[in-house]
Amino acid sequence: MSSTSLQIGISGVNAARRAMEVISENIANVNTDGYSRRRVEQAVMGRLAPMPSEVPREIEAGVKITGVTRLRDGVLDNAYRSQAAGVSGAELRAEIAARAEEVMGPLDSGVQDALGAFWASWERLSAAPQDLAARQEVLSSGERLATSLRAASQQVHALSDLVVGRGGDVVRQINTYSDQLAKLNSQIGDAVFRGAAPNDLLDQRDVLLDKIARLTTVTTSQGKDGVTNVYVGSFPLVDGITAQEIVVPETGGPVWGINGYPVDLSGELAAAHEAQTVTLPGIQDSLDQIAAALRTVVNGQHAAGTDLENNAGADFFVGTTAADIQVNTTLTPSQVAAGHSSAPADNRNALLMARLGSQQLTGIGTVDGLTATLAGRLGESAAATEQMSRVLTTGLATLQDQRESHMGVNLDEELSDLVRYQRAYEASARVMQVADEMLDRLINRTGV
Amino acid sequence: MTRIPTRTAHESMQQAMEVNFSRLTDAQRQLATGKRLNKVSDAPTDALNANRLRNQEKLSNAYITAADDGAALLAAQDSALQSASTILIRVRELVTAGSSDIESGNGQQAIAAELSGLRDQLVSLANTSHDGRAVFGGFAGSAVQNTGGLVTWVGDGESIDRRVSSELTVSVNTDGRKVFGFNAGVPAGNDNVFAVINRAIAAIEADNADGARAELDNIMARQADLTNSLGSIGGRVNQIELARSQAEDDVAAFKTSRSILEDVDMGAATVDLKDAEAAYEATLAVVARMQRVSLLDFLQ
Repeated sequence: MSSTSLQIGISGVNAARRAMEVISENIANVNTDGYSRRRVEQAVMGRLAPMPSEVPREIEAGVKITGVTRLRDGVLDNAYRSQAAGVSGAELRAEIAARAEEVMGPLDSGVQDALGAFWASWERLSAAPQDLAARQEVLSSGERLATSLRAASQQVHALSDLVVGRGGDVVRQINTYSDQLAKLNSQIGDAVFRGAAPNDLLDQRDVLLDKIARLTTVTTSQGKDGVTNVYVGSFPLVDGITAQEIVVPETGGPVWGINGYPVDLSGELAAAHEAQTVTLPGIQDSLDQIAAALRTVVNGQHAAGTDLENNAGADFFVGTTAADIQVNTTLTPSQVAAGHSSAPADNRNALLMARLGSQQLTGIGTVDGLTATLAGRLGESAAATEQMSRVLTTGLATLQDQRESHMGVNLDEELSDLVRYQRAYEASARVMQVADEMLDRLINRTGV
Repeated sequence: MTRIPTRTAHESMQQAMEVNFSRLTDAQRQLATGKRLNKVSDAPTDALNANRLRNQEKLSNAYITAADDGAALLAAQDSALQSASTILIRVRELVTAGSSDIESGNGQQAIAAELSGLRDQLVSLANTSHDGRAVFGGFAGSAVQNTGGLVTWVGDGESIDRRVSSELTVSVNTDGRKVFGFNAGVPAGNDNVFAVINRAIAAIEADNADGARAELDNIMARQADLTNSLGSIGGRVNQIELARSQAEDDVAAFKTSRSILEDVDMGAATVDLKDAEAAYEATLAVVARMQRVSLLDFLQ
C-alpha cells in the first residue's frame, strides 16, 4: 500500500516536473517567431487489477504524461496562408506603383510642369521674336522638357531592373523554401515513423509554410507520416520529400512556372511578374508615345516656319523615344523658326507653336492630354494600390491576431501554471514523504 | 474569451505607438512644408487640377508679357502719329500761306524750306522704330525710304500679332500705307503725304498758288487718315489693357485656386497636430503603465 503511494507520488512529481519543463520552454520562447505554445497532456494511470475471486478492481497508479501537444488552429493557419499571398502581392504592387509615380517628377517641377513651361516659352517668344534671349529660352525650356522625359524613362528602366531583381529574389526564395520543406518533411516523417512528436520541426515547417504563402498562394495536403505536400495551383511544389522548382525564363518572359509548366501566379510572384511584363512596359510605352507625339507636332510646325537665316525650321527635337529625345544640339537661337519669314519681327510661327499642346494627333490625342493622362494614371494607381494594400493588411492582421491568440505564449498564464504545477510537485513530494514515514514506522519501529 | 498572448499585447502596444507617432510626424511635416499635396497620389484629381492651374498661370503670365509688349508698340505708334498730326496741321498752315498771293518770293522760299524740313520729320516719324522694329513697316526694317526728297514705301503690309488671352489675338502694328496714303490702286507716289508735300513745295516755289491750293484737300485727306489710325490704335490699346487686367486677375485666381488645392489649411493642421500630440502622449502613458503590470510582481 505504502509503496503504491510512493509510486503515485513519484509519478506526480515526474508529471509536475515535466509540465514545468514545458512551461519553461514556453516562457523561454515567448518572443520566438512561429513558436506555438505547448501543453503537457496528462492522464490518470489507473489500471484494472485482475482479482482471482472477485470482479476486477481498479488500482490507483498515479498520473502519466501522454504527450506534449502544440496548440494551434489548423483552420486559422489555412485561412492565414490563403490570404497572405494576396496581401504581400498588394504590398509589392503598392511599392512599385509608388516608385512608378515618381517618374513624372515632383508636382511643381516634373514632366507636366516642364511641358507647360515649354509652351509658355513659345508664347513669350511670340511677344518678342526679335529677342535672342527669348529664342534661347525656347531652346533651354525644350531641353528641360526633354531632360525630364529622359529622366522619367531612365527611372522606369531602373525600376524595371529593380523589379526583375525582386522577381528573381522571390523565385529563389520560393525554391529555397520548397527545398527546406522537402527536407523537413523527410525529418518529420522519420520522427513520426519512430513515434516521436517532432514539435520543433513542425513549428519550423509552419514558419516556412507561412513564408512561402506570402510569396505565392499555396495549398497544402497532409500525406503519410506527418508529411505535408505543397501545391501551386494544381502542380505539386513539394511532393513528400521531393521539391520542384519555379522557373523564370532567361528573358523574364510571360511563362513562369514549375519546371516550365505555367502556373497561376499570385502574391509577390504575380506582382513582380505583372510589373515586369505589363505595368512598367506600359509606362515606358506611354512615355515613348508622349516623346513621339511631342516630336511630331513640334518638328512638323517648326519645319513650317522660317528662321532668321531664311531657312525652313530644322528638326527641333531629335531622338525617337523618351529615352533619347533631346533638343537638336546644332540649333542656334537664330535658327529657331519663330516666323513665316526671316524678318526678326515675324512671330507667326511662334504663335502656332505655343498652341501645339492641344493639337490632336489622330488616334493618339494631344501631347498635353497624353501627359496628364499618364500622370493621372500613375497617381491613381499609386493611391488605389496603397489603399488596397492597407485594407488587405488590416484583414490579415486580424487573422494573425486570432492565430496568435491560439498559439502565442502569455507569460501571466504560464506563471500561474508554473505555480499550479509547483504546488502539485510539492504535494506529490509530500505524499512521498508521508509514504516514507509510514514505511519507516513499519520497518524500523514495529515490534521494537 | 480571447486569449491575448504577451507578445501580441506587446506588439499591439508598439503598433499603437508607431501609428500615433507617424500621425504626429505627418502633422508636423504638413505644418512645416505648408503643402497638402506632395505627389499626385495624395489626391489625384486635386493634384492634376493643380498642375493644370500651374500651367495656365504660366500662359497667363506670357499673355501679360505679350500685352505689355503690344501696348508699348502701340504707344510708340500713338506718340509718332500725334506728332505727325501736329506736323500736318503746320503743313496745312504753310501751304495755305504759300498759296496766298501776298507772300513775297523770299517768304515762299522760307515756306518751301520749312515744308521740306517738315517732310523729312514725317519721314523719320514714318520710320519710328520700337525695340529695333519699324512700327509702320510690318516685318520690314523700315517703312519708307527718303532718296533726296523722293519718298518711297519699302515696308510690307504684314500684321504683327500679340496673343493677349487664350481667345484674343490683337494686331499691334499699323500699316504705314494706310497712315501715310500709299493707297493701293493709285499710281505709286501720287497720293502719299510726302508726294503731296513735294508737289506743294514745287507749286509754292513756282509761285503756282492754284497748284498749292489744290494740295490742301489731299493734306486734309491724310489728316483724316491719321485721325482714323489714331482711333484704331486707341481702340486696340483699350482691348489690350482689358485683356491684360483680365490676365492679371486670372493669375491671381489660378494662384488662389491652386493654393486651396495644394496648401495646408494652417488652422486645421494646427488642430490636427494638437490632436496627434495628445493621442501620442496618451499612448505612451498607457504603454508605460501596461508594461509595469506583471503577475511576477505579485508572486512571492
